[in-house]
Amino acid sequence: MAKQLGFYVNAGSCTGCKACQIACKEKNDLPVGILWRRVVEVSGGRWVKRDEAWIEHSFTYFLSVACMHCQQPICAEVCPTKAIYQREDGIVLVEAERCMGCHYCEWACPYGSPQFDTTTGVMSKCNLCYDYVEQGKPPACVSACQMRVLEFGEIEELRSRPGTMREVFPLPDADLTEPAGVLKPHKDTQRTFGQPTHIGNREEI
Amino acid sequence: MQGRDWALVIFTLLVQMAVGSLFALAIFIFGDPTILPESVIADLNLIVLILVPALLILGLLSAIPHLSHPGRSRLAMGNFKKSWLSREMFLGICFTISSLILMILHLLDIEPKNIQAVLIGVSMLCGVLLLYSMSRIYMLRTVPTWNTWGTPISFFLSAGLLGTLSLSLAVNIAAQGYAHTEASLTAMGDLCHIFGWTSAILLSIQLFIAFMKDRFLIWRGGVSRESIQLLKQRYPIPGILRGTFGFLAIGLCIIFALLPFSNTNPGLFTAIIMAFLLALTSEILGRFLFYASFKSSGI
Repeated sequence: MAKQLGFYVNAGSCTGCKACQIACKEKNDLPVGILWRRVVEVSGGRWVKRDEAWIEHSFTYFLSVACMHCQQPICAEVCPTKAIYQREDGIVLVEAERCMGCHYCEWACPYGSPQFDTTTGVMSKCNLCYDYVEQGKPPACVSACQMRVLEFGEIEELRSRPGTMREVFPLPDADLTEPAGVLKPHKDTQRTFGQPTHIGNREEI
Repeated sequence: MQGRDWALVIFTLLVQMAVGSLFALAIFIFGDPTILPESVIADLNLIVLILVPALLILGLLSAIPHLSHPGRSRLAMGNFKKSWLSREMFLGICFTISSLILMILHLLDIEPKNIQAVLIGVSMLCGVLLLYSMSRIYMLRTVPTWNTWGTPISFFLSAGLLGTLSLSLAVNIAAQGYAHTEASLTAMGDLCHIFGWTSAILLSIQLFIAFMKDRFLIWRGGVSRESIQLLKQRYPIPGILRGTFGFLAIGLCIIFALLPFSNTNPGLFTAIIMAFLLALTSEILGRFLFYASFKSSGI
């Protein structure tokens, strides 16, 4: 059996340039409104009183998110027509000819990965550029990342790297779907605990 | 809540009403139907056995706008092993076919009755499983607002409420145009009392469950709390209207439970129709709020 593939995201180095997002959109010729890879802008913090002064105590970090090609893909689990399926190497794909457009996968996926393409009337999602992968090339988003934030490979190898996590704000509990993605968190991730934190570009993603 | 979700509001309520109506009829038939005149029982059976498949077909038709490729729904039972939506489609088709056979047998007056009894039993089993699978569709582990005990309870209560009210209407329609003896008037009055009180109790439980579910979700915190807070900010009016219509419907159910039965006085019939319409509106608003409360546990 082929080994499970996945993404590695080093959020600490991400500048939020969105080159990955654009490369994905260009490579897959995605219509307006669909982003298979999205860069989430997380911001938070508050004013803190130190002695007699009020000091701004805010933070921002970016998180590049695409389909996690989960080991328990809930999108494939709920799809009534089996239009969404998982290959042996763990890549989760949509067979457009089987999709009836019920949007059930859209409800189920906690990463917002399946997105409805109004031009074709079917769901679409990140395919981990399987055509590139089969040619031995990395996915378009990985190639485009100028900061080398994104990498891809066998998930067990990626997970063995030091300092990685399976979930940070705003990602869901990893136990829900066992995502095949690992994150090296931004140093400010720990500040999301106990401080007002929100997604700054909700409309965009 | 997106526009296409209205198709699901209508679909779920029509299917639940169909299951509830057949259940109410079955309880009545397996109980003691001889308390009513034979002519009324025949008309009642006819009305309900036509109503159930009609509601199901209407429900299935109303769900079509929700799909962008309805033609591919023929593939929808392909994931029966894992997907509750596949199971719902399968059970929906089984329930529709069994209720259509029941209607045809009744219309053609085919005996023996024990075949009908078996078919009603099969339909009831399909109906229960259909309601359960319908509620399980929404109990996604990634959607905490929907993944609660309140979802199946409220779906079963909707079926019971709308089914009981539909049967109350059917009894009153069936009783029209016949001269009744005092005994049969008393029997129909007793039946209406049962229906009225049952509807009032079911609707009270439904509203109580809705209130308790909101409290529970707020208490649970996290995404569940955010979802309810967002819902109250965005849709305060539907929430208030749901409660108002619901309480008015409870009042009318109690009124028709207390009114003496008469097929010459339109008061009772009007009360039942009003109770039905108000309860239905309350249920539509409740289901709208259910879909509007969607919030994924992720991004």
